[in-house]
Amino acid sequence: MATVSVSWGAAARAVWRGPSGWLLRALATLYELGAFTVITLGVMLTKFRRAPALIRPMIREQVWLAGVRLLPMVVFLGLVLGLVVVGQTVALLTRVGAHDFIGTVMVVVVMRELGPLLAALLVLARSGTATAVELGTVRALGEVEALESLGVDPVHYLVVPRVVGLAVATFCLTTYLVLVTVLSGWVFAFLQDVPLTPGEYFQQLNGALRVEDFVLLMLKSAAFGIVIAVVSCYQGLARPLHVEEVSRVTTRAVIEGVVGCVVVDAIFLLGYLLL
Amino acid sequence: MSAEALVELDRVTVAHAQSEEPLVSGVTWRLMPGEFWVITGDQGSGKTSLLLTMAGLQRPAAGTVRVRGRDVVSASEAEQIEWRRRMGFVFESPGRLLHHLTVAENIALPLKYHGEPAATERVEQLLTESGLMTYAHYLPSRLSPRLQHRVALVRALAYPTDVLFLDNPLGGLGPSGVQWWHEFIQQWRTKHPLAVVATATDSDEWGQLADHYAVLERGQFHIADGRN
Repeated sequence: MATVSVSWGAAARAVWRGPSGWLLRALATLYELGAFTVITLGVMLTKFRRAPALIRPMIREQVWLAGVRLLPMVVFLGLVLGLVVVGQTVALLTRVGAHDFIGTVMVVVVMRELGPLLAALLVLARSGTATAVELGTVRALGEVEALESLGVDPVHYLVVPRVVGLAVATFCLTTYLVLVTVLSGWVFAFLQDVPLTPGEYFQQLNGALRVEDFVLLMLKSAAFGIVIAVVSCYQGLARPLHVEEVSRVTTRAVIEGVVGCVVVDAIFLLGYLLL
Repeated sequence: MSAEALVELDRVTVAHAQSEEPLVSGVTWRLMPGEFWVITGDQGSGKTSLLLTMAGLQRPAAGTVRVRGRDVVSASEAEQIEWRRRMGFVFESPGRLLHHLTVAENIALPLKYHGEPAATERVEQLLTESGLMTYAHYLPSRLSPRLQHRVALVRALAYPTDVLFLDNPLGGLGPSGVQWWHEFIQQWRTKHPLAVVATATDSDEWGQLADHYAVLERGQFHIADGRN
């Protein structure tokens, strides 16, 4: 009997580590991430009013770190994105006599797709990695157990401020990025001698925008922030670590963060198509 | 009417947190208010795991751990938080301070989390009493492990506490370090009722302060004074 159970265990391990095991591992990670998200949401709801004097400043700090400090970079990216989108499309649209659609292209490309995704990737690169490193270090140094011994819920203290902070920061950064890109788009169109007055340009934008765009932009960018925070916190905290493993979990947080954001983006794309 | 036991272990088996390999079995023990226990044993004998189990921070592999009469395994989350709030646990040196918080912020953390209104004044008072005021705004990385461990002790006592668990606090300390711990704990106990459970490699480490001794040997828990 013992032989049978050992061979079953060995077979399971072989499948898990083998070339086809990636699907199993991906499903296991997805399951664990889902469970971590549910726990975080549960803590967020049940401890909503607990320790506000401690938690609220931490949320503000996260918004500062992930949002305000990234503003110069977002402005720069917005300027470049405006140039790229206009530079690539103006020649083509003018050739077919469709420069009246520059505003529409800006809305579709920047507001619905590139803006939120670019802002999310920026937050992931700047704050997601920092979160994974910081929480991985907290875990490796045994500070999670120290928090538990003090009666402090580690999820409430370490994860909730990051989830809320990154959701708010990503939404705000996305808004700024879209605004800067739209404005720089007109400037670059003007510099390329496109016969388009500011009034006409904003008229085009106004015509292309729908109320759903604003709602979905808000939901999508906040969802990106939540995905980045949850993945980074999960990788940092979920299992016992040694200090030398922190770099490995940070890399995993980045990869899973990118995959998570792309999956969320695809889900919202379905939303746009259905609306 | 006899006082209620703060912690009771009933035929408890303690296993290693990661490997789940049994370390100590058949532990039956009680901690009464105001007692000072020293638990000795060789390295790897399971002192830390037993201490964590006594503090309700690690689940027993078998048996029952009761804190103020409540089974810790079946206790609600609110009961567990309440118990942890009223006990202090000092991990082995350097004490696991939160590395991104200053000394003062580390000590203030449990006070602020549990809604203590006068947290700042309390932290100042504790820093003054412990002689650590100079280091109030230092990050732990700027302190020696010896000082970090003292901060961890002060943090554990920040919230009004009636049980203190110390994991080998005097290990590797010189005479002056040992003296600081002895004096601080002694002074604290004259002002506040406090039961203490400390692990040690040598039963003489705590001198006259300790009044009960236990030894971990070959996976068994022996009470040296034969009271339980």
